[in-house]
Amino acid sequence: MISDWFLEPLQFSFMTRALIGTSLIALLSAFIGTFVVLKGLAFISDAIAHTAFSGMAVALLLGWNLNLGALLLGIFTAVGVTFLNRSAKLRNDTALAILFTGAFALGIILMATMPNFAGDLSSLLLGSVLSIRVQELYWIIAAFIGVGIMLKVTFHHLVFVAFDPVGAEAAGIPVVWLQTLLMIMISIAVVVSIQAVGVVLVMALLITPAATAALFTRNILKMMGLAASLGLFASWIGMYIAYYVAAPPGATIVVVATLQFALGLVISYLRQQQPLNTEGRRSS
Amino acid sequence: MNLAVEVNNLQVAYERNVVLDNVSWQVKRGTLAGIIGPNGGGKSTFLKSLLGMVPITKGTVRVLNQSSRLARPQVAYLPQREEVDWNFPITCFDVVLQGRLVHLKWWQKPSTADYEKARDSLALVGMVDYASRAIGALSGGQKQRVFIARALAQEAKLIIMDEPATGLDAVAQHELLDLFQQLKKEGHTVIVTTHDLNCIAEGFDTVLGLNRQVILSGIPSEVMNADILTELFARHFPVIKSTGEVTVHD
Repeated sequence: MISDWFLEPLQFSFMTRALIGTSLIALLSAFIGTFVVLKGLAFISDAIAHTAFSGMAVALLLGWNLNLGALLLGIFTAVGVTFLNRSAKLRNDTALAILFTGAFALGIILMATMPNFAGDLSSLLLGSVLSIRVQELYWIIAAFIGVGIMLKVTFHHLVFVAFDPVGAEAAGIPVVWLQTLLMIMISIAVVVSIQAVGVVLVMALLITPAATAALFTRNILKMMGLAASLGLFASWIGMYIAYYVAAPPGATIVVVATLQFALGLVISYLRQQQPLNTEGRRSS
Repeated sequence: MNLAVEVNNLQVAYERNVVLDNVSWQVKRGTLAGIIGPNGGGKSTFLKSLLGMVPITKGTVRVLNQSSRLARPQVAYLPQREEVDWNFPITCFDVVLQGRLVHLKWWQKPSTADYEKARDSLALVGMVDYASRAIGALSGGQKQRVFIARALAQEAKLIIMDEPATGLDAVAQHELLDLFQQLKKEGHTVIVTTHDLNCIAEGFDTVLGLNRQVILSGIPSEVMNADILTELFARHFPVIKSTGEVTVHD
Protein backbone atom coordinates (compact mmCIF):
# COMPACT_ATOMS: atom_id res chain seq x y z
CA MET A 1 0.00 0.00 0.00
CA ILE A 2 1.22 3.43 -0.91
CA SER A 3 0.00 4.93 2.38
CA ASP A 4 2.03 2.37 4.34
CA TRP A 5 5.03 3.27 2.21
CA PHE A 6 4.43 6.93 3.05
CA LEU A 7 3.62 6.50 6.76
CA GLU A 8 6.24 3.96 7.77
CA PRO A 9 9.21 6.34 8.08
CA LEU A 10 7.10 8.84 10.02
CA GLN A 11 6.82 6.54 13.03
CA PHE A 12 10.47 7.33 13.79
CA SER A 13 10.90 10.65 15.52
CA PHE A 14 14.33 11.19 13.90
CA MET A 15 12.64 10.93 10.47
CA THR A 16 9.92 13.39 11.45
CA ARG A 17 12.51 15.86 12.73
CA ALA A 18 14.59 15.38 9.59
CA LEU A 19 11.59 15.96 7.33
CA ILE A 20 10.51 19.11 9.19
CA GLY A 21 14.11 20.37 9.16
CA THR A 22 14.78 19.71 5.48
CA SER A 23 11.39 21.14 4.48
CA LEU A 24 12.10 24.45 6.21
CA ILE A 25 15.66 24.49 4.87
CA ALA A 26 14.40 23.75 1.35
CA LEU A 27 11.89 26.62 1.52
CA LEU A 28 14.44 29.06 2.96
CA SER A 29 17.07 28.05 0.40
CA ALA A 30 14.60 28.42 -2.47
CA PHE A 31 13.57 31.97 -1.48
CA ILE A 32 17.14 33.16 -0.95
CA GLY A 33 18.48 30.99 -3.78
CA THR A 34 16.28 32.91 -6.23
CA PHE A 35 18.34 36.05 -5.53
CA VAL A 36 21.58 34.03 -5.59
CA VAL A 37 20.76 32.68 -9.06
CA LEU A 38 19.52 36.00 -10.45
CA LYS A 39 22.53 37.94 -9.18
CA GLY A 40 25.13 35.27 -9.96
CA LEU A 41 26.18 34.98 -6.31
CA ALA A 42 26.82 31.22 -6.39
CA PHE A 43 30.56 31.54 -5.94
CA ILE A 44 30.23 33.92 -3.00
CA SER A 45 27.66 31.60 -1.39
CA ASP A 46 30.10 28.73 -1.74
CA ALA A 47 32.76 30.84 -0.06
CA ILE A 48 30.35 31.57 2.79
CA ALA A 49 29.71 27.84 3.24
CA HIS A 50 33.41 27.08 3.42
CA THR A 51 34.29 29.87 5.86
CA ALA A 52 31.21 28.94 7.93
CA PHE A 53 32.84 25.53 8.32
CA SER A 54 35.95 27.19 9.75
CA GLY A 55 33.62 29.13 12.04
CA MET A 56 32.32 25.82 13.35
CA ALA A 57 35.86 24.65 14.02
CA VAL A 58 36.63 27.81 15.95
CA ALA A 59 33.35 27.51 17.86
CA LEU A 60 34.27 23.94 18.82
CA LEU A 61 37.65 25.06 20.02
CA LEU A 62 36.14 27.80 22.16
CA GLY A 63 33.21 25.70 23.33
CA TRP A 64 30.62 27.89 21.61
CA ASN A 65 27.49 26.84 19.79
CA LEU A 66 28.46 25.54 16.33
CA ASN A 67 25.77 27.48 14.47
CA LEU A 68 26.81 30.72 16.13
CA GLY A 69 30.44 30.27 15.09
CA ALA A 70 29.42 29.37 11.54
CA LEU A 71 27.04 32.30 11.30
CA LEU A 72 29.57 34.83 12.57
CA LEU A 73 32.31 33.80 10.16
CA GLY A 74 29.80 33.37 7.30
CA ILE A 75 28.44 36.89 7.80
CA PHE A 76 31.96 38.26 8.16
CA THR A 77 32.84 36.77 4.77
CA ALA A 78 29.60 37.98 3.19
CA VAL A 79 29.92 41.55 4.39
CA GLY A 80 33.65 41.61 3.61
CA VAL A 81 32.96 40.53 0.05
CA THR A 82 30.27 43.19 -0.41
CA PHE A 83 32.71 45.93 0.55
CA LEU A 84 35.53 44.35 -1.44
CA ASN A 85 33.21 44.38 -4.44
CA ARG A 86 32.53 48.09 -4.15
CA SER A 87 36.16 49.08 -3.95
CA ALA A 88 37.10 46.39 -6.46
CA LYS A 89 40.52 46.99 -7.83
CA LEU A 90 41.37 43.32 -8.05
CA ARG A 91 39.48 40.45 -9.64
CA ASN A 92 37.93 39.40 -6.42
CA ASP A 93 36.95 35.83 -7.37
CA THR A 94 40.65 35.01 -7.24
CA ALA A 95 41.18 36.75 -3.90
CA LEU A 96 38.03 35.14 -2.54
CA ALA A 97 39.01 31.65 -3.68
CA ILE A 98 42.41 31.94 -2.00
CA LEU A 99 40.86 33.26 1.18
CA PHE A 100 38.04 30.75 1.55
CA THR A 101 39.97 27.63 0.61
CA GLY A 102 42.72 28.72 3.01
CA ALA A 103 40.19 29.26 5.81
CA PHE A 104 38.53 25.94 4.98
CA ALA A 105 41.84 24.05 5.13
CA LEU A 106 42.61 25.68 8.46
CA GLY A 107 39.18 24.60 9.71
CA ILE A 108 39.85 20.98 8.71
CA ILE A 109 43.19 20.99 10.55
CA LEU A 110 41.60 22.51 13.65
CA MET A 111 38.87 19.91 13.65
CA ALA A 112 41.24 17.01 13.04
CA THR A 113 43.43 18.04 15.96
CA MET A 114 40.49 18.03 18.34
CA PRO A 115 40.08 14.77 20.25
CA ASN A 116 36.94 12.74 19.52
CA PHE A 117 35.91 14.85 16.58
CA ALA A 118 37.21 13.03 13.54
CA GLY A 119 33.93 11.16 13.15
CA ASP A 120 31.84 14.33 13.02
CA LEU A 121 34.00 15.90 10.34
CA SER A 122 32.30 13.93 7.60
CA SER A 123 28.86 14.77 8.97
CA LEU A 124 29.68 18.48 8.67
CA LEU A 125 31.11 18.04 5.19
CA LEU A 126 28.31 15.84 3.91
CA GLY A 127 25.41 16.66 6.22
CA SER A 128 23.73 14.68 8.95
CA VAL A 129 20.06 15.40 8.64
CA LEU A 130 18.99 12.20 10.40
CA SER A 131 20.74 13.30 13.56
CA ILE A 132 19.00 16.69 13.79
CA ARG A 133 18.07 17.28 17.41
CA VAL A 134 15.15 19.32 18.68
CA GLN A 135 17.48 22.15 19.65
CA GLU A 136 18.84 22.32 16.10
CA LEU A 137 15.31 22.34 14.79
CA TYR A 138 14.72 25.50 16.86
CA TRP A 139 17.70 27.13 15.10
CA ILE A 140 16.23 26.23 11.74
CA ILE A 141 12.77 27.53 12.69
CA ALA A 142 14.28 30.78 14.02
CA ALA A 143 16.31 31.22 10.82
CA PHE A 144 13.24 30.52 8.70
CA ILE A 145 11.08 33.06 10.53
CA GLY A 146 13.85 35.67 10.77
CA VAL A 147 14.84 35.52 7.10
CA GLY A 148 11.18 35.24 6.07
CA ILE A 149 10.32 38.50 7.83
CA MET A 150 13.43 40.30 6.53
CA LEU A 151 12.69 39.16 2.99
CA LYS A 152 9.02 40.09 3.10
CA VAL A 153 9.72 43.52 4.54
CA THR A 154 12.50 44.48 2.12
CA PHE A 155 11.33 42.54 -0.93
CA HIS A 156 10.49 45.45 -3.26
CA HIS A 157 13.66 47.36 -2.42
CA LEU A 158 15.81 44.23 -2.75
CA VAL A 159 14.38 43.57 -6.21
CA PHE A 160 15.08 47.18 -7.26
CA VAL A 161 18.69 46.90 -6.10
CA ALA A 162 19.13 43.48 -7.72
CA PHE A 163 17.66 44.61 -11.05
CA ASP A 164 19.21 48.07 -11.42
CA PRO A 165 21.77 48.86 -8.69
CA VAL A 166 23.05 52.01 -10.41
CA GLY A 167 19.56 53.46 -10.96
CA ALA A 168 18.63 52.59 -7.39
CA GLU A 169 21.71 54.25 -5.93
CA ALA A 170 21.23 57.32 -8.11
CA ALA A 171 17.71 57.68 -6.72
CA GLY A 172 18.93 57.51 -3.12
CA ILE A 173 17.94 53.91 -2.26
CA PRO A 174 20.35 52.59 0.45
CA VAL A 175 21.99 50.12 -1.93
CA VAL A 176 24.97 49.14 0.23
CA TRP A 177 22.78 48.43 3.23
CA LEU A 178 20.34 46.31 1.20
CA GLN A 179 23.16 44.38 -0.50
CA THR A 180 24.68 43.71 2.92
CA LEU A 181 21.32 42.54 4.24
CA LEU A 182 20.96 40.14 1.31
CA MET A 183 24.42 38.74 2.03
CA ILE A 184 23.48 38.25 5.70
CA MET A 185 20.33 36.39 4.64
CA ILE A 186 22.39 34.20 2.30
CA SER A 187 24.77 33.46 5.20
CA ILE A 188 21.90 32.41 7.46
CA ALA A 189 20.41 30.17 4.75
CA VAL A 190 23.81 28.59 4.08
CA VAL A 191 24.60 27.96 7.75
CA VAL A 192 21.31 26.19 8.51
CA SER A 193 21.49 24.24 5.24
CA ILE A 194 24.86 22.80 6.26
CA GLN A 195 22.83 20.81 8.83
CA ALA A 196 21.00 18.98 6.11
CA VAL A 197 23.40 18.52 3.24
CA GLY A 198 26.79 19.58 4.58
CA VAL A 199 29.33 22.12 3.36
CA VAL A 200 30.06 20.37 0.08
CA LEU A 201 26.47 20.09 -1.13
CA VAL A 202 24.96 23.22 0.39
CA MET A 203 25.16 25.06 -2.92
CA ALA A 204 22.84 22.54 -4.53
CA LEU A 205 19.92 23.33 -2.22
CA LEU A 206 20.47 27.04 -2.68
CA ILE A 207 20.85 27.05 -6.42
CA THR A 208 19.42 24.03 -8.20
CA PRO A 209 15.68 24.50 -7.41
CA ALA A 210 15.89 28.25 -8.18
CA ALA A 211 17.78 27.59 -11.42
CA THR A 212 15.17 25.00 -12.45
CA ALA A 213 12.38 27.49 -11.68
CA ALA A 214 14.15 30.16 -13.76
CA LEU A 215 13.70 27.94 -16.82
CA PHE A 216 9.93 28.29 -16.60
CA THR A 217 8.99 31.78 -15.48
CA ARG A 218 9.95 35.41 -15.97
CA ASN A 219 8.24 36.59 -12.79
CA ILE A 220 10.33 36.67 -9.63
CA LEU A 221 7.49 35.78 -7.25
CA LYS A 222 6.45 32.81 -9.39
CA MET A 223 10.12 31.83 -9.57
CA MET A 224 10.34 31.80 -5.77
CA GLY A 225 7.12 29.80 -5.46
CA LEU A 226 8.19 27.26 -8.06
CA ALA A 227 11.69 26.96 -6.53
CA ALA A 228 10.10 26.37 -3.12
CA SER A 229 7.82 23.63 -4.50
CA LEU A 230 10.72 21.96 -6.33
CA GLY A 231 12.94 22.19 -3.23
CA LEU A 232 10.25 20.69 -1.01
CA PHE A 233 9.56 17.91 -3.50
CA ALA A 234 13.26 17.07 -3.85
CA SER A 235 13.68 17.02 -0.06
CA TRP A 236 10.76 14.67 0.58
CA ILE A 237 11.47 12.33 -2.32
CA GLY A 238 15.16 12.37 -1.42
CA MET A 239 14.45 11.57 2.23
CA TYR A 240 12.11 8.68 1.35
CA ILE A 241 14.49 7.18 -1.19
CA ALA A 242 17.31 7.52 1.33
CA TYR A 243 15.18 5.78 3.96
CA TYR A 244 14.19 2.84 1.76
CA VAL A 245 17.52 2.20 0.07
CA ALA A 246 19.68 3.30 3.02
CA ALA A 247 21.44 6.02 0.99
CA PRO A 248 22.96 9.18 2.50
CA PRO A 249 19.95 11.57 2.68
CA GLY A 250 21.77 14.85 1.90
CA ALA A 251 23.33 13.47 -1.26
CA THR A 252 20.05 11.81 -2.32
CA ILE A 253 18.17 15.12 -2.00
CA VAL A 254 20.78 16.81 -4.14
CA VAL A 255 20.61 14.06 -6.78
CA VAL A 256 16.80 14.42 -6.98
CA ALA A 257 17.12 18.20 -7.31
CA THR A 258 19.70 17.76 -10.06
CA LEU A 259 17.42 15.33 -11.91
CA GLN A 260 14.63 17.92 -11.63
CA PHE A 261 16.93 20.44 -13.28
CA ALA A 262 17.88 18.02 -16.06
CA LEU A 263 14.20 17.26 -16.68
CA GLY A 264 13.45 20.99 -16.61
CA LEU A 265 16.10 21.59 -19.27
CA VAL A 266 14.58 18.92 -21.52
CA ILE A 267 11.03 20.28 -21.05
CA SER A 268 12.05 23.88 -21.70
CA TYR A 269 13.97 22.75 -24.80
CA LEU A 270 10.93 20.87 -26.10
CA ARG A 271 8.70 23.90 -25.44
CA GLN A 272 11.01 26.03 -27.56
CA GLN A 273 10.66 23.54 -30.41
CA GLN A 274 6.88 24.04 -30.59
CA PRO A 275 5.51 25.91 -33.63
CA LEU A 276 5.53 29.71 -33.35
CA ASN A 277 2.42 31.40 -32.06
CA THR A 278 1.32 33.76 -34.82
CA GLU A 279 -1.62 35.24 -32.89
CA GLY A 280 0.69 37.89 -31.46
CA ARG A 281 0.13 37.03 -27.79
CA ARG A 282 3.02 35.83 -25.69
CA SER A 283 2.80 33.38 -22.87
CA SER A 284 5.08 34.03 -19.92
CA MET B 1 18.63 81.88 -10.67
CA ASN B 2 16.58 78.70 -10.62
CA LEU B 3 19.06 76.11 -11.83
CA ALA B 4 18.69 72.38 -12.24
CA VAL B 5 22.43 71.89 -12.43
CA GLU B 6 25.31 74.18 -11.48
CA VAL B 7 28.82 72.85 -11.93
CA ASN B 8 31.89 74.96 -11.14
CA ASN B 9 35.50 74.09 -12.01
CA LEU B 10 34.82 70.37 -11.64
CA GLN B 11 37.75 67.99 -11.66
CA VAL B 12 37.33 64.20 -11.48
CA ALA B 13 40.23 61.73 -11.39
CA TYR B 14 40.32 57.93 -11.50
CA GLU B 15 43.45 56.41 -9.99
CA ARG B 16 45.44 59.63 -10.39
CA ASN B 17 44.29 60.11 -14.02
CA VAL B 18 42.29 63.26 -14.56
CA VAL B 19 39.24 62.38 -16.70
CA LEU B 20 37.41 65.69 -16.30
CA ASP B 21 39.08 69.02 -15.70
CA ASN B 22 37.89 72.55 -15.11
CA VAL B 23 34.30 71.80 -16.19
CA SER B 24 31.74 74.52 -15.50
CA TRP B 25 28.17 74.28 -16.73
CA GLN B 26 24.73 75.55 -15.85
CA VAL B 27 21.37 74.12 -16.86
CA LYS B 28 18.15 76.02 -16.19
CA ARG B 29 15.17 74.13 -14.86
CA GLY B 30 12.68 72.95 -17.49
CA THR B 31 15.20 72.68 -20.31
CA LEU B 32 16.42 69.93 -22.56
CA ALA B 33 20.21 69.63 -22.36
CA GLY B 34 22.48 67.43 -24.45
CA ILE B 35 26.04 66.30 -23.80
CA ILE B 36 28.22 65.30 -26.75
CA GLY B 37 31.82 64.29 -27.20
CA PRO B 38 34.06 61.44 -28.27
CA ASN B 39 34.06 58.07 -26.53
CA GLY B 40 36.25 58.24 -23.45
CA GLY B 41 35.77 62.01 -23.31
CA GLY B 42 34.17 61.83 -19.87
CA LYS B 43 30.43 62.07 -20.69
CA SER B 44 29.33 59.18 -18.47
CA THR B 45 31.70 60.23 -15.69
CA PHE B 46 30.22 63.72 -15.84
CA LEU B 47 26.71 62.28 -15.42
CA LYS B 48 27.88 60.18 -12.48
CA SER B 49 29.37 63.28 -10.88
CA LEU B 50 25.97 64.98 -11.15
CA LEU B 51 24.55 61.99 -9.28
CA GLY B 52 27.24 62.14 -6.61
CA MET B 53 28.49 58.71 -7.58
CA VAL B 54 32.13 59.54 -8.34
CA PRO B 55 34.59 61.27 -6.02
CA ILE B 56 35.27 64.87 -6.98
CA THR B 57 38.85 66.09 -6.63
CA LYS B 58 38.12 69.79 -7.20
CA GLY B 59 35.20 72.13 -7.77
CA THR B 60 31.53 71.98 -6.83
CA VAL B 61 28.36 70.33 -8.12
CA ARG B 62 24.93 71.61 -7.13
CA VAL B 63 21.79 69.82 -8.28
CA LEU B 64 18.38 71.43 -7.83
CA ASN B 65 20.03 74.00 -5.52
CA GLN B 66 21.41 71.39 -3.13
CA SER B 67 24.21 68.86 -2.92
CA SER B 68 23.86 66.01 -5.41
CA ARG B 69 23.40 63.49 -2.60
CA LEU B 70 20.52 65.37 -1.02
CA ALA B 71 18.93 65.89 -4.43
CA ARG B 72 18.89 62.16 -5.23
CA PRO B 73 15.19 61.42 -4.54
CA GLN B 74 14.30 64.13 -7.09
CA VAL B 75 16.72 62.85 -9.70
CA ALA B 76 16.13 59.84 -11.92
CA TYR B 77 18.99 58.17 -13.74
CA LEU B 78 18.43 55.89 -16.71
CA PRO B 79 21.53 53.72 -17.01
CA GLN B 80 23.21 52.69 -20.24
CA ARG B 81 21.70 49.54 -21.68
CA GLU B 82 24.57 47.30 -20.62
CA GLU B 83 24.28 48.41 -17.00
CA VAL B 84 20.91 46.66 -16.60
CA ASP B 85 20.30 42.90 -16.44
CA TRP B 86 17.58 42.50 -19.09
CA ASN B 87 17.06 38.83 -18.24
CA PHE B 88 15.90 39.75 -14.76
CA PRO B 89 12.39 38.35 -14.29
CA ILE B 90 10.47 41.58 -13.74
CA THR B 91 7.41 43.08 -15.44
CA CYS B 92 7.23 46.59 -16.87
CA PHE B 93 4.74 47.56 -14.18
CA ASP B 94 7.07 46.47 -11.39
CA VAL B 95 9.92 48.46 -12.94
CA VAL B 96 7.73 51.59 -12.94
CA LEU B 97 6.61 50.90 -9.37
CA GLN B 98 10.27 51.06 -8.34
CA GLY B 99 10.03 54.82 -8.92
CA ARG B 100 7.70 55.02 -5.91
CA LEU B 101 10.12 53.14 -3.64
CA VAL B 102 12.38 56.18 -3.67
CA HIS B 103 9.89 57.97 -1.41
CA LEU B 104 9.46 54.99 0.93
CA LYS B 105 11.75 53.68 3.64
CA TRP B 106 13.28 50.29 2.93
CA TRP B 107 10.79 48.56 5.22
CA GLN B 108 7.72 50.28 3.74
CA LYS B 109 5.54 48.74 1.07
CA PRO B 110 3.96 50.63 -1.86
CA SER B 111 0.38 51.76 -1.13
CA THR B 112 -2.66 51.73 -3.42
CA ALA B 113 -1.86 55.35 -4.33
CA ASP B 114 1.66 54.26 -5.34
CA TYR B 115 0.23 51.56 -7.60
CA GLU B 116 -2.11 54.12 -9.21
CA LYS B 117 0.74 56.56 -9.76
CA ALA B 118 2.78 53.81 -11.43
CA ARG B 119 -0.13 52.92 -13.72
CA ASP B 120 -0.70 56.60 -14.63
CA SER B 121 3.01 57.02 -15.40
CA LEU B 122 2.98 53.98 -17.66
CA ALA B 123 -0.05 55.46 -19.45
CA LEU B 124 1.74 58.80 -19.95
CA VAL B 125 4.46 57.14 -22.02
CA GLY B 126 1.92 55.03 -23.92
CA MET B 127 3.02 51.70 -22.46
CA VAL B 128 0.05 50.70 -20.32
CA ASP B 129 -0.77 47.75 -22.58
CA TYR B 130 2.64 46.31 -21.79
CA ALA B 131 2.28 46.49 -17.99
CA SER B 132 2.45 42.74 -17.40
CA ARG B 133 5.13 42.02 -20.01
CA ALA B 134 8.63 41.05 -18.95
CA ILE B 135 10.99 44.04 -19.41
CA GLY B 136 13.44 41.90 -21.37
CA ALA B 137 10.82 41.06 -24.00
CA LEU B 138 10.48 44.69 -25.15
CA SER B 139 12.24 46.55 -27.94
CA GLY B 140 14.95 49.11 -27.10
CA GLY B 141 12.60 52.08 -27.53
CA GLN B 142 9.93 50.47 -25.38
CA LYS B 143 12.45 49.76 -22.61
CA GLN B 144 13.44 53.44 -22.62
CA ARG B 145 9.78 54.43 -22.30
CA VAL B 146 9.30 52.15 -19.32
CA PHE B 147 12.35 53.65 -17.61
CA ILE B 148 11.07 57.15 -18.33
CA ALA B 149 7.74 56.08 -16.79
CA ARG B 150 9.72 55.00 -13.71
CA ALA B 151 11.23 58.50 -13.56
CA LEU B 152 7.72 59.99 -13.82
CA ALA B 153 6.44 57.71 -11.07
CA GLN B 154 9.36 58.92 -8.96
CA GLU B 155 8.18 62.50 -9.68
CA ALA B 156 11.78 63.29 -10.57
CA LYS B 157 12.42 66.93 -11.40
CA LEU B 158 15.66 66.09 -13.17
CA ILE B 159 15.94 63.12 -15.52
CA ILE B 160 19.44 62.04 -16.55
CA MET B 161 19.94 59.54 -19.37
CA ASP B 162 23.15 57.97 -20.61
CA GLU B 163 22.95 57.42 -24.38
CA PRO B 164 19.24 56.60 -24.50
CA ALA B 165 19.13 56.74 -28.29
CA THR B 166 21.95 54.25 -28.87
CA GLY B 167 20.70 51.13 -30.61
CA LEU B 168 17.28 52.58 -31.46
CA ASP B 169 16.00 52.72 -35.04
CA ALA B 170 15.17 56.09 -36.63
CA VAL B 171 11.46 55.92 -35.76
CA ALA B 172 12.13 55.04 -32.13
CA GLN B 173 14.70 57.85 -31.90
CA HIS B 174 12.17 60.41 -33.12
CA GLU B 175 9.54 59.09 -30.74
CA LEU B 176 12.05 59.43 -27.92
CA LEU B 177 12.78 63.01 -28.91
CA ASP B 178 9.04 63.75 -28.90
CA LEU B 179 8.85 62.27 -25.43
CA PHE B 180 11.70 64.54 -24.28
CA GLN B 181 9.73 67.54 -25.54
CA GLN B 182 6.67 66.32 -23.66
CA LEU B 183 8.73 65.94 -20.46
CA LYS B 184 10.09 69.45 -20.92
CA LYS B 185 6.57 70.87 -21.36
CA GLU B 186 5.60 69.25 -18.08
CA GLY B 187 8.42 71.09 -16.35
CA HIS B 188 11.05 68.35 -16.13
CA THR B 189 14.69 69.06 -16.82
CA VAL B 190 16.20 66.42 -19.09
CA ILE B 191 19.94 65.83 -19.54
CA VAL B 192 21.11 63.21 -22.04
CA THR B 193 24.39 62.13 -23.55
CA THR B 194 24.19 61.23 -27.20
CA HIS B 195 26.13 60.66 -30.40
CA ASP B 196 23.29 62.04 -32.52
CA LEU B 197 24.35 65.61 -33.26
CA ASN B 198 21.31 66.34 -35.46
CA CYS B 199 18.98 65.44 -32.67
CA ILE B 200 20.79 67.95 -30.43
CA ALA B 201 20.75 70.64 -33.12
CA GLU B 202 17.03 70.20 -33.76
CA GLY B 203 15.43 69.77 -30.41
CA PHE B 204 17.71 70.73 -27.54
CA ASP B 205 17.92 74.03 -25.66
CA THR B 206 21.52 73.73 -24.65
CA VAL B 207 24.54 71.60 -25.46
CA LEU B 208 27.79 70.73 -23.72
CA GLY B 209 30.71 69.33 -25.71
CA LEU B 210 33.10 67.40 -23.46
CA ASN B 211 36.50 65.98 -24.17
CA ARG B 212 38.10 65.93 -20.75
CA GLN B 213 37.28 69.62 -20.58
CA VAL B 214 34.56 71.84 -21.98
CA ILE B 215 35.08 72.29 -25.73
CA LEU B 216 31.75 73.92 -26.46
CA SER B 217 28.80 75.08 -24.42
CA GLY B 218 25.66 77.06 -25.23
CA ILE B 219 22.67 77.10 -27.59
CA PRO B 220 23.21 74.38 -30.23
CA SER B 221 22.52 76.55 -33.28
CA GLU B 222 25.04 79.11 -32.06
CA VAL B 223 27.91 76.94 -30.86
CA MET B 224 27.85 73.85 -33.09
CA ASN B 225 29.94 74.61 -36.17
CA ALA B 226 32.33 72.53 -38.25
CA ASP B 227 35.54 73.88 -36.69
CA ILE B 228 34.55 73.37 -33.11
CA LEU B 229 33.02 69.94 -33.78
CA THR B 230 36.27 68.87 -35.42
CA GLU B 231 38.15 70.07 -32.36
CA LEU B 232 35.71 68.27 -30.05
CA PHE B 233 35.88 64.96 -31.82
CA ALA B 234 39.63 65.24 -32.49
CA ARG B 235 40.50 62.03 -34.30
CA HIS B 236 36.89 61.41 -35.29
CA PHE B 237 35.50 63.16 -38.35
CA PRO B 238 32.33 65.18 -38.26
CA VAL B 239 30.89 65.63 -41.76
CA ILE B 240 28.48 68.45 -42.43
CA LYS B 241 26.28 67.96 -45.48
CA SER B 242 24.90 70.78 -47.63
CA THR B 243 21.50 70.21 -46.00
CA GLY B 244 23.06 71.07 -42.67
CA GLU B 245 23.01 67.49 -41.36
CA VAL B 246 25.97 66.37 -39.31
CA THR B 247 27.36 62.86 -38.93
CA VAL B 248 30.38 61.70 -36.98
CA HIS B 249 32.57 58.90 -38.26
CA ASP B 250 34.82 56.98 -35.88
